[in-house]
Amino acid sequence: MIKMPILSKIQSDARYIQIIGQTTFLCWGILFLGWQEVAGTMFIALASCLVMQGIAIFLGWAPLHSLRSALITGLGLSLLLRVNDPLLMMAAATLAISQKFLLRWKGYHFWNPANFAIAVLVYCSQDAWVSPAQWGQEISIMVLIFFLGVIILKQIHRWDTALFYMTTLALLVVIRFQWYLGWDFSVSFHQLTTGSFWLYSLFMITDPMSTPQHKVARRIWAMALAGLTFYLQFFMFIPTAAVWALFVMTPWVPLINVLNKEKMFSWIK
Amino acid sequence: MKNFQMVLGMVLSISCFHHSWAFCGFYVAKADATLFNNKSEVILVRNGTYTVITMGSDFQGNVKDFAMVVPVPVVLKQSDIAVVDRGIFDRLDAYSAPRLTEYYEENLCQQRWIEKEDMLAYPNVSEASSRMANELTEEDNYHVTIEAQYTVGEYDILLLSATESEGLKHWLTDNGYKIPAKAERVLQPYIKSNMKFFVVKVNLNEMKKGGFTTLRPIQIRFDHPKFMLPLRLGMANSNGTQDMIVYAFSPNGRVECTNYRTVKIPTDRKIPLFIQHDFGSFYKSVFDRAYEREGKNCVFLEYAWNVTPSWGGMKCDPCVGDPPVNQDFVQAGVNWYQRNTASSIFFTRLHVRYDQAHFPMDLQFQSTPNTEHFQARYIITHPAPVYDGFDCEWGQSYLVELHDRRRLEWEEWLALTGSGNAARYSYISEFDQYLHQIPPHWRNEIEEQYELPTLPKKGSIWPDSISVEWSGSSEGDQSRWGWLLGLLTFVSAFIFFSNRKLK
Repeated sequence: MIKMPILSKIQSDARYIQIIGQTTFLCWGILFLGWQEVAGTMFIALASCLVMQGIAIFLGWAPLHSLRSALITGLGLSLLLRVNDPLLMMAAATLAISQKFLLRWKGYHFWNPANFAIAVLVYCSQDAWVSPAQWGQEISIMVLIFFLGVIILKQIHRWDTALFYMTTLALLVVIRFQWYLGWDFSVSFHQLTTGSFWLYSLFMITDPMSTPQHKVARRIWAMALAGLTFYLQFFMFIPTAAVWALFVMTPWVPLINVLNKEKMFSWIK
Repeated sequence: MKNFQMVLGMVLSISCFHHSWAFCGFYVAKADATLFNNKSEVILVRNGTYTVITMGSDFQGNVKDFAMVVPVPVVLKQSDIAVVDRGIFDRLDAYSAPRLTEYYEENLCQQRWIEKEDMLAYPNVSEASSRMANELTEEDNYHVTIEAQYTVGEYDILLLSATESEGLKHWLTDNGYKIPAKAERVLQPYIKSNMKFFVVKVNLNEMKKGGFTTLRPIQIRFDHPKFMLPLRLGMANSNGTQDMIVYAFSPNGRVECTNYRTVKIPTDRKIPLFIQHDFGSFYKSVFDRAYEREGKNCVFLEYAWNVTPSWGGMKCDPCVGDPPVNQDFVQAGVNWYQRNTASSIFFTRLHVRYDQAHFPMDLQFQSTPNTEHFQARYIITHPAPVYDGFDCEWGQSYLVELHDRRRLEWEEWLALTGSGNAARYSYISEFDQYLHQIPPHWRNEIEEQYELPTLPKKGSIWPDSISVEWSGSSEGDQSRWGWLLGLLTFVSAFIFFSNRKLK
């Protein structure tokens, strides 16, 4: 068998595939969705996250390989957050990385770093926003998200988070729009085939650091998250419901983990 | 002295072309909303949960046949309903329509400067469906409740709530509102969502009293977190596509769609000079092509600008119509702006072409803090005047540049509209006759690129149109490859140098 050192390196840490996946989506945005205009701020996000994590490593708060997590956070910010001023992107990166070290309990994170920064900035600043329709309903991007998502989730054994979240949300949408309100199936289909929904489900909520470690607890947690997202989006009419639902649900994770006496997740095999 | 003139001329033209954002051409034409058939216009105002919707009517039939049913989230009070002057739509359209601007080049063999301004007019072609409305009777066994009943201006208005679509459909039919057969299925979800129905017909007496000859736009305002435009009811009986122009005002920045992608229409493209006589149909083709390319399920951004009266910057670049003023804001329903305060107003123009197959849901929006300005602008360039001759050294190199630039303009035209009249091909070589020596590479390049039979000759017959594949050629389109390469290099380097021994 031919030895491919780069392949075994990539397989050694699921974060590499996560990085490749998110980079692919960014490339897609730049190529087909007109994101080249905001590409400058994307590099600011990536560089700021790496610098902030670098400082933490220098201070001895984190191992060197945690730079990979920082790059993932930077890519997440680039994919989701839109700002008027590049300085805000630096602020987002600073918030995202620093909360990992400043806000933690018994070694557990309260929030997914990118999600925390997005929620805080969108809520507090007048110059940051999230565009939930930026991916459109393109089938090709969904297929891409699906395959890359499946590869990563299989490797980190977190496919169940995405499956339970997506199935619950899909059921709720079909029950409300098709069965209760009486819209055509095309309405439910439209809601469930947006690129944002797939990207969030497979790449954001599945972060093993901010989801319960216990299998059953994790599945119940994913279903509760879906329920909250559904409520915020269709009863409170918040288009960016997924961001806020995750922001509200992740702080409970450390408590769930401690109660279940679960070990912390480790990225390195 | 001649040398001085040359230098001055070059400085002027360089400063013009290298600062494409600081406008130094002239507005010559616009592609206004009247170009599109089956179109409707709406003004949206949104501040927090406060929403004002003004519906422009282009109803062309007998006014006694006019009727309209709009789902609304709450029962409106009489003070929430108004009738406004049609002029506000025309002013906003004139201000924000896609624009053609022109530059003039100088002949530095002997410098001259000419300015010209022109404007094109387009016939107003529009149609709307008609719904008959007769006298209303009491609700009875229909499970329909008349929540409120008003006469506002020349309109009789009813606010209905219903518990079942069958009853509502019968009530409307029995009261003289002709409801399309397919509409019943669409009424049901609105009823279940607890929406009310805003039902309008014309009060002929009031109309006569007021001396109105055309129907004025109706405006409704309410406080509700739902920020949407119901399209599905209007689509129930229509198989074709309809165009809608949305003029939106919000306090912080652009309004964008949250359940369909909001896409910028191609802008800042240099196009051939001959477009100036047909800019309207040119823009229509640009829109058609963009609509097809983006999958027919997008909302297009045509204009976005800060229009705060106290804001010092330019309100348009160039202006094709006056920016909205205080009176327009008041009429549109902007209620947050106060002079000498930090409040601001941002204006967005969206253009959506929708049909049943590609727009299964009503349009939903959000007001973002995105303050980036945008306009649909196309640029034509007049060549240096011929009568000064091109015999000097500058003139000869200018002609080569002109030929090359016109080829790019021609390609841009084909790329933007999808096809072009091949007879226009002579545009590129129009000035070649003044060249002392024709560069040999031109002939081969052009023949290969478009697979044209021969170079244009006098009297030769050309096909009516040639189709080319879309190939964006703006600076923005080219820059994406640079960013792509940068990103891939960055991430590859990261993975390559990331050392797992240091875990």
